[in-house]
Amino acid sequence: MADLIEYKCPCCGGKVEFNAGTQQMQCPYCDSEFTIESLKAADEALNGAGTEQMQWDTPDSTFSDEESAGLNVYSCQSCGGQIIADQTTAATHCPYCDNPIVMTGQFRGDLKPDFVIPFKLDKDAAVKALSAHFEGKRLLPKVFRDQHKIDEIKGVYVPVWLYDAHANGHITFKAHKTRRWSDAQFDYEEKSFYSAVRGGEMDFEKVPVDGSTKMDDELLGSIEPFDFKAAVPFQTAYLSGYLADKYDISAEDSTETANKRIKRSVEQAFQNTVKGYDAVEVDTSTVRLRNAKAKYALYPVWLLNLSWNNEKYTFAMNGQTGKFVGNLPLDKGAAAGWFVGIAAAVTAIGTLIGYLIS
Amino acid sequence: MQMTVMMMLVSPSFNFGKTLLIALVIGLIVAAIAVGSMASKLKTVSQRREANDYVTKGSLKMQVSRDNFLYKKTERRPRAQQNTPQNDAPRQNGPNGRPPAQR
Repeated sequence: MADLIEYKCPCCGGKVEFNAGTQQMQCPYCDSEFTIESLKAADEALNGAGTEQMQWDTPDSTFSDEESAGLNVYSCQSCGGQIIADQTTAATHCPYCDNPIVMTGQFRGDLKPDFVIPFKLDKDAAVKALSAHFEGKRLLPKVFRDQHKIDEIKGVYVPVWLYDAHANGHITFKAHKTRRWSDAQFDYEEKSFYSAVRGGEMDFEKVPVDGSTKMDDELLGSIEPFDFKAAVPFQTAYLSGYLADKYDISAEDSTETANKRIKRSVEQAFQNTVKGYDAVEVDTSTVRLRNAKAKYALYPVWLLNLSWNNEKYTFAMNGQTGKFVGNLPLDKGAAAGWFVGIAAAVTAIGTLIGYLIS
Repeated sequence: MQMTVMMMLVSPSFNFGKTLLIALVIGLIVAAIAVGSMASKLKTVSQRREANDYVTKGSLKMQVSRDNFLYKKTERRPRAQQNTPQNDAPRQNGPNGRPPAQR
């Protein structure tokens, strides 16, 4: 069995969780608060530890060999219940007694994250943000607001790789400007074409790339940016009360994604210096990157799963800044109604203006 | 309202059909833009393709910056013939047909 940490209150023995509001560990039963530093001792065993042999017990059930090969089984230290989790789960709750559990085996040695951005916003903030997300959406079906069902709200620490890079770019752009004039017989259009050359350098810090196949890349990218200034050295205590996964996409495999984003930003920054033209586009682009070693961090995300009309909808909120995203359904009837109404109104006003002018 | 419409239909200087058609086309375009804008607010998830939020402030240093003129292309289209009144003066251009140089 892998080692587990369950943070217990020394006063009453209740489960202690990280409180996003106070940024301290708090017991919800007796309201006692503890600093993160006071729980540092629990992490001492993680430093310099070698790899640990994982003994797997597969339950006597209908799991196939393929299914059981990807599962770990833990025993809850509070109630003794068996917890079955996949290979990447690093923090969860006991499904029987709801005790928060941190699987320390997922953070040993090289697997230990360098940084964590603690949750700043709690579950209530996520629910309020969901309601605010519906506001001002004229084409959202009214029944969706009233009849949607929240299946799940979970606070997850998502594993990310952070890249620093020094970029050196040499980019040529095609640009043109247009001049128009007329005489009695003809309309003239003169286009002047230019080649704009830009070369220079710029630095990037802590570009995040999703390190987990469980987290949708588009969803994580949509709730960026995260402010790295709020990041702290990793401690398992921050995970108590939340879910967490370890990475299953390596730093090497993530480098290409980071480099693509960095190259695109270099091209945009250089293009912004090409001014005075009607149109500018990249012609040739050479961007050389010098990457520092990637850092491993856990970033806070609230995930909300809704169901409505037999469809599933997933929303995400940045657990640090509160940025909320999620695609909503379209009310086609309302869209048609608005279209006909606006077209009719503009047609009537335009016809009246045409009559008054004549 | 009915009086206004009747006046439009009987007015000899007002081409009701042509004006209505132009107004309808404009109305359809405006409606498409407005409804498209409302629908776009429902989609907030998209792929992040750049890293602009992570640029180190003040780190951009341009070492090469030059714009090279390549070539010029001029096109002309004949203007639609119009019945111009006697007192309309033609636009003044130079002997080569080009407008005066821009200052």
